[in-house]
Order: sequence, then C-alpha cells, then structure tokens
Amino acid sequence: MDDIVLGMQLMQYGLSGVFLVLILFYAVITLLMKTLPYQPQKDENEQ
Amino acid sequence: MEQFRQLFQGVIEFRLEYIVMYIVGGVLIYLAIKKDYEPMLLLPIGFGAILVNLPFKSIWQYEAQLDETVTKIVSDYPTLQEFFTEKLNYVFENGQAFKVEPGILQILFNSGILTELFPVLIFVAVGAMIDFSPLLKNPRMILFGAAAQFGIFFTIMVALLLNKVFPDLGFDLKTAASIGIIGAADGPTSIFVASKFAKHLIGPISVAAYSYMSLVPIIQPPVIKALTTKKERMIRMEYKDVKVSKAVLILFPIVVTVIAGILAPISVSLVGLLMFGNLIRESGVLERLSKTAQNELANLVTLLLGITIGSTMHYESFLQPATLMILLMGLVAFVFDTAGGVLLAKIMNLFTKEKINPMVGAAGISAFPMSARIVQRMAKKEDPQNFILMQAVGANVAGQLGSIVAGGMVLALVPWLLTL
Repeated sequence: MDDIVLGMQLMQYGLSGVFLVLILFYAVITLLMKTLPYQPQKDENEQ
Repeated sequence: MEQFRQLFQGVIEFRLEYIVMYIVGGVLIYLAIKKDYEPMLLLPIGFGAILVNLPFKSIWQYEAQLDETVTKIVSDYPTLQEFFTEKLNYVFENGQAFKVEPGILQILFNSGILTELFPVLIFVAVGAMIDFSPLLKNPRMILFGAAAQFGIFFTIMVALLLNKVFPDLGFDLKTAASIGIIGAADGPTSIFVASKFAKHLIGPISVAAYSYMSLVPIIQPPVIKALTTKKERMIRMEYKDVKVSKAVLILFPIVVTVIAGILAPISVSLVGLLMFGNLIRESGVLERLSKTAQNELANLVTLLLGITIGSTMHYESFLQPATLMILLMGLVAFVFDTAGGVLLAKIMNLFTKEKINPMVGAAGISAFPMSARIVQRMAKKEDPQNFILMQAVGANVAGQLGSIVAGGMVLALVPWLLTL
C-alpha cells in the first residue's frame, strides 16, 4: 500500500488510540477518586 | 617511509568532515554550558560526537585484523559469511575475513541502546520523579495529554510527503514514525522508538528531541499567541484543592500498567517501568530506592546514554540531507503538538460551562515542568492575578503519560499497517 495512505491510517488509528487510552485513564482516575476518597487520619488521643 | 606513515597515520587519515563534526559537537557543548540547554544530555552527546569523529574511530571499533582461519572456512562454505558478519563482527574484503572488535562506545550502544536498556532505566527514574497528584485532582486535564501528541502524527505525514518529493531521503513509514516521535517531547521514548525502527538515525533524532525540549520556552509562546486572543489568555480557572488518598496514589500506577499492557502489550516496557518507578515513590516504604532511582540511577544512565548517543554521530551518517530535514521536522512536531493542545481547549470551551484557559492545552506536551511554567508565566503577563499553574502542571503530567502511550501506539501500529 502507498506510504501516504499508511501514514493517514497511522494518524487516524494512532491519535484515536491515544485519546481512547487516556479517556480510559480518565475514567479510572474518576472511579478511584470516588471509591477511595481521602480520609484525614484520626488522632489517636481523641479516642 | 612506512614507519613514518604509521607514526602519523592519524594526521594522514584526517578528513575535513571531522572538523564539521567538531563544530557540531562544540555547538552542543556550548549550548549545554553557556545556555544551560539540557546540559546533562547535550554535553555528553556533543563530546561523544567529537570522540567518534577522530581518525580510525577507535573508540567505536578497533582496527580490523585478518583472520586466516575464518577466511578459509568461508571460502569452503560461503553460506557462513552472513553468520560471521552479523553475529561475530567480521567484515569481508576480496574474499578475506577481518575480525573487527567493538570499542567501548559500540559495546555501550549494543548493550544499552539496541537492547533498549538505557531508555527503559531512564523511565524508572522518571517514574520515581513524577507526582501524579495534580492530574488526579483534575483528571479533565488528561485530554490535553492526548491532544498535544498531534504533532507526532502530523510530522509523520510531513516526512512521508517529503519522501514523495525527495525519494533519496529514504523516509519510509518506519523512519517517518521514528522522526515523528520527536514530537513526544520525551527523549527516552524517541530513542526507544528509533532503536526499533531506524537505528541509523538515532543520533539526529535524539539530538533533535533533546534540543527542542530545551527550546520549549522559545518555541511555545509564539504558537500559543498566534492561536489565542488576549481575552482567552486571561481566562481564570477555578482550582479545587482536592486531597488524594494514598490508596489512589498506589493503585493508579498499577491499574495504568495493566490497562496499557492489555491494550498495547508492546508498550509495557515503557509504561510498566515508568509506573514501577512511580509505585516505588508512592509506596512510602521504599524511600531509599525512590531516592536512588531519582538521583544515582538517573544520573548514571543519563551519563552513559548521552555519550553513547553522541557516538552514533559519525560524519558518514550525520552529514546527510536527511539530518537537516530531521532537525527541521522536530520543530514542526513541537509546533503542532502545542497547536493540538491549544485547539482542543478552544473546542472544549465551545461546549463547557467552566471555561478553560486554552494556554493550558499547550502544557499537554511531555516537557515537564518547563511547559507548565511557560503557560503560567504567559498567563501572569496578561493578568498578574491569574494563577493556572496547577492546571497546567496537571496537563503537563498528562503529557508524560500521553507521550508514552503515543510511543506504544506507534510501535504497535506501524508493523501491523505494514502487513496490510
């Protein structure tokens, strides 16, 4: 196949792939932040 | 007379091209020392370029020695010639076999670059240096880490089009991909991809990658200004300082590694070791290892990486029209990376209520933390009260992820496309 056509396909799949993977990471971050929120450590003396 | 020739063989073998390469090496050393442009890499690269362009190139390989036994073996069994050439460092001239022992820099190149060991070890060090918190606090910024990889793919197309016009350049898909990856703005990823697809161009590709990374403060501002209005550059962004739990910081590198490993298995040595370094950092129980990765490991590998890259800059391979083209296309890649990030922010602003300062998009390249600092400096120039550094740092960290993912995509897609 012509290199230019291959280059176009590489751009199409490559850029879509990068977006797809990073959007997946976005979903993972959102999920992790929701399920494991920051909890301040309780002072032992308070008990 | 013969003895006289032997005594001064270095002078006799001297070529004018060496002087050109000393100037190239000298310029890199000058930029490193005087301008402080990526000195940890440009200085060893510059000196490596001088070392390998001394007569007889003995730092790369020793003088060829005639081996009569192998000469006889190959004359009896000519099919073995390929084996001796490829596996045992022999060269053949007029039917005679010569053993060429690799010199110190070739040993480093074969064991550190061709095996991908050096770039991958750098990833462990970089992972130990990265704090993903700004991105975890503001995950929307991750999109800029993807958009700012646009320059990679655009430059691949430019390289392929140039090859159509000047076929002598020899930019096939693999070579074009190695050139485009300069736009990852990430030296180790560029070296990693080039070592797979275009070993003969590792020198100019690395020089372009590291030089432009150090020139980010000069390249990005005019591109950002050309694509944004003053009003856009003055957009203020609200920053919520959400705290990130330790569990998230620990789980993030593990989950990212698993996802990347499933979607693009070839990227595991890149993503996996970056995340390994990050896990060491975030675990909180490996402080000594984390510090070693950030300091001793990073310094030692960088030292060897730089001089080894420099040693690939022999005049025969470096003083070619392709080198000049690669240097120019590196600039194209950085310009279009910046444009990709800025334009995505502008598009997002058409659909979102909470407006994004488009300059933050430009920080989606991997040059950390330079790019984020530039964006903050530009924002402050327009409005001294505007503070968008944390958002820009988030985008910048996303750029580090994006560049590695893009490298993985290129590594996976190019061989697949070539089979179609």
